[in-house]
Formats: sequence, structure tokens, C-alpha cells
Amino acid sequence: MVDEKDESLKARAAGRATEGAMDITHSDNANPKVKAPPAQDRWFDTQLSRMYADLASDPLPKDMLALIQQLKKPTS
Amino acid sequence: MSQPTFDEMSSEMRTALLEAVPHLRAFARSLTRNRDQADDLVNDTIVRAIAASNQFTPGTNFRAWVFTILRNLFYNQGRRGKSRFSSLDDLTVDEPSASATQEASLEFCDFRRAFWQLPDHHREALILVGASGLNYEDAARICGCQVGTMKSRVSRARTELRRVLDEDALSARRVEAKPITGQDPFEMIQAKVHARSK
Repeated sequence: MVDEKDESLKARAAGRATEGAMDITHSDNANPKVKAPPAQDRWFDTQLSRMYADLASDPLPKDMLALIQQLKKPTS
Repeated sequence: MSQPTFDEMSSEMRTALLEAVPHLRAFARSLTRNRDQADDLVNDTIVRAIAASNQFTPGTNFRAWVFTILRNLFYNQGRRGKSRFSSLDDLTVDEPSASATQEASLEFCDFRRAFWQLPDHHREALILVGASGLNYEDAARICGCQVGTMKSRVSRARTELRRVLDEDALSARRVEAKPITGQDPFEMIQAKVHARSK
């Protein structure tokens, strides 16, 4: 009788533990900002590279284009 | 000794300078936080790099050399103070690239918002080491600090980003949790009880 009760308690506890683990996984997928540090670092690197690429690829202003054209001219 | 001109620059150096222009623009933008000021700064850097091209030591990192020129110009010409009062609008209205999914775009916007909130030297450290591909030694040389200081700046910048993003996520959850009716929660409960008792 006691053993049966213990078994059912163990099963319930295990169930809760599994539910908890699944919740953590689900919330990790839903919100990248609460990822474990290594994954979050990778996420930072991706976002940083993307932002850097955006900044670097802005259309060139006229005066800078003129400077670049001068640099592109072949040396005599 | 006269300063070198465009024509006197070696073709290797011209190519290196041309290749460095996009990187200079990104770095200048992170320092000035303003598109026009950043482009003026890059123009001045190109002119200065041409004039000082005979001072570059072959075999060393050219990009690090021009980054140092740009940073010195920024801090020596008092542009730093100017940028503090300038508009940050051009940084906040940039649209993420259209190919990205909506969720990824939102994440990217959150990241950029957090990034621009970082202190100057943290932002600079992340751009130099994290994005422009320089190593800690070159980044430290550009900023005139010890390698250990640069490592700690990068680490603190990441921690600060994490904190700002976590706070953003927390405030977003608070906004989501607010009742959309704008009613007082107590009044809502009372109304439910009243409806059930009918």
C-alpha cells in the first residue's frame, strides 16, 4: 500500500519535472533574449554583424564618391 | 618633407584604403551616432591617410592604422561633444533588410536599441572586436589601452547588452499583461462575479 503510494508520488514528481523541462525549452525557443550565454553570444554576434553590414553599406554621399573615384584612378 | 598626394600613393595602398572605406564608415557611425558627421569624419580620414601614407609601416594592419587616424580625428576635433547633442534619428529609423522574417526584424530592432544605449567605449569595443574582425591587440592599440582593458570592455559590453535586452523583455511582458480594456482589475472581477450571480 505504502509502496503504491510512493510509486504514484514518484510518477507525479517525474511528470512535473518533465513538464518543467519542456517549459524551459519552450520559453528558450520563444524568446532569444533569455537563451543560455553561449547561444546568446552567437545571437549577439549575428545581430552585430548584421548591424555593421547595414552601417557599412549605406549609400555613399557625393563628396565621398568623388574621393573614391580619385583613388580608383590608375597611377601614372 | 612634402606630403604624398593621390598620384604618389602605391596601388596596393589605394586598394587597401578603398577596401577599408565601408569599415571606416561603420566605425565612424558607431562613434558619432550620426550619418552626416560619420561621413565627414571618413572623408577627413581618407585625406589624412593619403597625406600620411608614407608613415604607414608595411606588414602591419592597414585597417587598424586608418581606424586609429579616424579615432584620433574624432577625439581631437571635438566631434565627440558635438555628437552628444546631435540627433539620433537616423539610427532609429533605419529599416531592417526586407528579406528577414518579421520576428527576426523585431529581434534586430531590439538589439540595435540596446546597442545604441551602451556607453561610448563599450560600443567602440564591440564594433572593433566583435564586428570589424580586428583582434584584441589591434583594437587595444587603436583605443590606446591595454589588451586586458579591451577584453574587459568587450565582456562588460556584452553583459550590459544582455541586461538592457532582459529589461526590454520584462517591460514588454508588463505591457502585454495590462488589461486591454483599461478597466480597473478590481472592477473587472466585480463585473464577473456580478455576471455569474445573475
